[in-house]
Amino acid sequence: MARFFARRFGTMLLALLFISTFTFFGMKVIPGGPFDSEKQLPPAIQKNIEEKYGLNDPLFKQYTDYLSGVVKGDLGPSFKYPNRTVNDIIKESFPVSAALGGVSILLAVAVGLTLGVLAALKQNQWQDYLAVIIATLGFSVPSFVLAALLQYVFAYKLGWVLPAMWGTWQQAILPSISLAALPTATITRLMRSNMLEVLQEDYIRTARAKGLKNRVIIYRHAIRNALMPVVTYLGPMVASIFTGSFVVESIFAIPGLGRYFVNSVFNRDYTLIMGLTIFYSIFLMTMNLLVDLSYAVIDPRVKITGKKE
Amino acid sequence: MPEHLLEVNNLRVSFFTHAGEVQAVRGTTFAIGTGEAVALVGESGCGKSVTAQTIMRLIPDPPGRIVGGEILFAGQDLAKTPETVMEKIRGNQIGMIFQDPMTSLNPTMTIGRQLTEGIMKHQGLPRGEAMKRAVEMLALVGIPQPDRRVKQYPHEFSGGMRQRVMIAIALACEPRLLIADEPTTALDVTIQAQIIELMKELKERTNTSIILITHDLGVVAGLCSRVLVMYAGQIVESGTVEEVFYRPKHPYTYSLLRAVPRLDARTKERLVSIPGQPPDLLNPPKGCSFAPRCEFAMRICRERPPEDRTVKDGHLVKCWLTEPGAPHVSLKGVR
Repeated sequence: MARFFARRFGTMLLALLFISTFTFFGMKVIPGGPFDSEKQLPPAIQKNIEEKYGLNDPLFKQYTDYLSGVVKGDLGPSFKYPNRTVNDIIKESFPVSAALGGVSILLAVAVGLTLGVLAALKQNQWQDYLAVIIATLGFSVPSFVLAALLQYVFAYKLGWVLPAMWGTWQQAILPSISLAALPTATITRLMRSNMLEVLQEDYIRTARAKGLKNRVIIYRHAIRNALMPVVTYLGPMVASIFTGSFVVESIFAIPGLGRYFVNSVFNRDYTLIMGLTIFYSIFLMTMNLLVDLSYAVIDPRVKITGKKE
Repeated sequence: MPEHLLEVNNLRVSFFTHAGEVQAVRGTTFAIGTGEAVALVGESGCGKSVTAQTIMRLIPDPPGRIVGGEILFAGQDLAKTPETVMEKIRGNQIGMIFQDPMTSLNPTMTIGRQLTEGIMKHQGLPRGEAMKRAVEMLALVGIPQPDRRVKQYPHEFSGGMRQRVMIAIALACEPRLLIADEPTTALDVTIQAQIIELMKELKERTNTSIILITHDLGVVAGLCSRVLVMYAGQIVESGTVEEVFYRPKHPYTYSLLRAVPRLDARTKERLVSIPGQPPDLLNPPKGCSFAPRCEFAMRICRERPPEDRTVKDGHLVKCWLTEPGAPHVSLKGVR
């Protein structure tokens, strides 16, 4: 167990180093800088600003300076949002995105699992077709279309909720539905196909031969065995949804983290790009670690050891 | 013959597929007495497993359906029993063991849990009591350290041990009938003998009736007193093990017995096989289903299906050759 964690953290650190190096030099290759603008600043001022942020140092020194900050937990100041550090930005916006993402994931898991199990049990009946239609729509309708449509119907036409803004729980309804559409579709499809597979297994026949009720067989024997691929999918999905969506947050004017991912690149806000990349990487790798640990909980054949295969 | 526990009368089971109606079981009739062990033998696809699973009503519908006949179990026709009543019979009055012990146990559940769920359902015992019973059952089927083993998962058991667990599950509620669907096929030979020995021992102790489905004629003699030979969805010959094995009357039984490799055969001797293929049950033949492969087939064999004929007390054969006045053929040289 201890060896398992030691190995995993070692790999994570290595991956993190690789990701940050690649991102750092990659973004420097892109032409332009944080203080370029259409209105040309006087060269002296431009030079002073660049001097202040260390942008005139040799590239490698900038890199090591940045990394030594990261090690201390300091992601540096934002270039574009004066007086705010990258840490501040993440601290302010991540909880918003995470709250919205949490609701969306819960929604996606609840609806997706229900639809998937129902579809498998009623294969080729109307419940199955309904689930498949919902899943296909969830896949094919882009979130900006769905978001705009929801705003139009429920906020503009029916007037049940405000079209945008953030603060009360009612305002989370439309954006979380928009965010949940894709994971719901994926979970429905995964769960449906896994359930169909598991229901063909010999141990399901054994369970029937014991005289168990169909409902008991589904809940006790089938669902747990069908859950594995959904858990695998859920790890990266949670990471991606918790860190916000540019599209949904923009449409509903939600002060989340998602928009910074896109804006920081447009603005060449170097420290923010780096900070978000590192934050997202750590989050994603932690989720994957959790996924691996939950395998051991779901399937007793999976053992947590430090040994290689 | 003792009172019949199970009576299958003219049972017909079909699978309705895109290609048409596959008649997997075409009028099977047999009976099993209390405490009797009967073997159901025949090659793959002859309808052995379908018959067994139909008795338990485990055939998925659709595509499978009972299209005719009755299954009288202790006087009740299982073919017409509603699902809710079947749930009280399965695992309680009739237990079943399957072919592949590696896949027949749920990998994510402890052995104890898989044993107790049936006990708790049918005998209404609380969990603790059921667990005690589970440990007893494991001990009964010869699993060492049963109180430790109940807490383990199927992957911690070997194939033979898992089949013992399956037997324990099937017998946990002391059923009156045990259906063993090729219980030894997936096991290696030494383990096969142990499992058959175990079943024999348990049968003697509990007076359970057994239907043993197998295509291995060797395991039949060790456990069963009577044999039913099945071909293309029908029982073509039945009788005591001694009658059927030593004095087979149906050319199919004869060919089947001849195909068993002999220990004393000379090394250069080739294995005997039955030429041809079993008939397509989508369009079963008009006459005797074995006629196309039968070396003694006459014209009537291809025209009209033979009826059951008693050749000796309790020895039934479906073959035109047993008709008085049919040409005498010699089916000899078996064992």
